Amino acid sequence: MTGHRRCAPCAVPPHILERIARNGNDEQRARALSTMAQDSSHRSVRVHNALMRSVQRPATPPRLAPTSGPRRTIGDAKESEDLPGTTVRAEGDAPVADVAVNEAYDGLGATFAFFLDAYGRDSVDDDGMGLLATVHYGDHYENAFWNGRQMVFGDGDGELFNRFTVSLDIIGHELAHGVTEDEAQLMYLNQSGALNESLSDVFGSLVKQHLRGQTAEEADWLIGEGLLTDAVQGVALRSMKEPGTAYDDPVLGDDIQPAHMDGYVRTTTDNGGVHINSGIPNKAFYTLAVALGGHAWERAGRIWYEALRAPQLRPNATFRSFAAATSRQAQVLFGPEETQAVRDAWASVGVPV
Amino acid sequence: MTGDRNTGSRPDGGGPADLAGRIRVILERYGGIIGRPVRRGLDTAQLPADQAATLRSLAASLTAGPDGTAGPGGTGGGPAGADRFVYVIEVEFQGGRVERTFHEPVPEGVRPLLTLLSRAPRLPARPGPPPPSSPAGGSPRR
Ligand SMILES: [Zn+2]
Repeated sequence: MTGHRRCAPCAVPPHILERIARNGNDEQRARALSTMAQDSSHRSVRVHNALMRSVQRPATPPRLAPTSGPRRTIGDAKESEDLPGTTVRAEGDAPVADVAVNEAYDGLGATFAFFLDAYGRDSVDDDGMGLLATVHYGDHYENAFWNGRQMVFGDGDGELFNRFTVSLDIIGHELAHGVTEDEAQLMYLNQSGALNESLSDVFGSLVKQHLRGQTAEEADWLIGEGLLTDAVQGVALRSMKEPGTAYDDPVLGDDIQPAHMDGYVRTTTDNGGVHINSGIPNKAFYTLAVALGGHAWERAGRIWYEALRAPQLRPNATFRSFAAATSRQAQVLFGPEETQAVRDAWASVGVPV
Repeated sequence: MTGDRNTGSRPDGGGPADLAGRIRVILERYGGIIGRPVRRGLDTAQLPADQAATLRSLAASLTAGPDGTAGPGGTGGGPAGADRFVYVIEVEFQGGRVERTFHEPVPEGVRPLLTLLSRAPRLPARPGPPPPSSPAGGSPRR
């Protein structure tokens, strides 16, 4: 059954690529063909790995610890948009003078350590995949992203945004996109896209909490703390604790994240508001973590992680179907108390389980 | 993944847009890990003649035709990866407007206009949520 959810990745559908390859101009045709080639090989490897893993996977992990640690490579795009850029630090190399390089290196290390320690996961693909990050991408580029193969960090405009490696939870967020893509391929659109975003916020925040040894009560539950410059009236990009309150600035605008289904934003922009409506599952996770107390990655995070890996979770999952998956996992992994806490947390944001 | 959704509307049913008069070009950027939309814009009425001419010429390449800026993409699958920007460029001219949507990485042909607009003054952020998918689709918040 595992093969069932391993459908095509959420890129351009093959039939569209084939149409471009037939009808596009030379450049378009070349690009479509190259995408198709990468895609099909990537997909067959992925399906193969998934099948292998489903055979090997016990009902409840942990897996055996891997024999080697992270394999990190940091590239420098030197303000271009060329990826991966020049390699400036590789695994085991000493720190360099460039703070962004070291932040990326350390952030990847902390994220790798988190997934390994908390869930026995060996890197993005649970198979020791090398971790590649490029810094100094673009000209004052105000973003960090996952391109399907690696993490990319811009320097920010310097006026509103600092460099994007400054927040450990952002590095964790980007790497977690790789984990989500490997496990569930949640479509980056509407509710499944907002879940995809929320999972990255959840694990990004947990990476930071894990490194700091914080309990759910002690954690700040902010995403992008330190990213906004002093010129901005705000504390971070998002608050999982209180979605919609991270910033309110005359230039940047206000934080428009809802914390409840009553405020769900229907829009065609931002792939259906994936960075907006993620506030709803973010708040559900926060609520559960605080209700259970202690280290959030141990029970709440474990439930979310196993729900992400559950074969029932489809690429077009909704908040409700994911909530149901978390409820099942709470029952399997823990017991009635945790299961009720999961249901209460989702109910508090208007998602019935 | 690149994409030009060709969402533009043209009042004359497909003829070339008349960019000789005053034009206004708005860039809206959505997505990215930030999530908050950003609007920037340029108006030929507020630019020196040489810069207005540059804007006109770059806007003309955008509005030249349905295939003028089309990249390999589509509306069916969403972008590859996550946290990429989505850009909407809107050209308002005498008698109409044209709107184009681009997913990163944007096609080469659009980059000069995008670079120009990325340095344009910020326009006031739209209050509240971004525009709904349909007239009745907005959810009032707070
Ligand atoms: Zn993201």
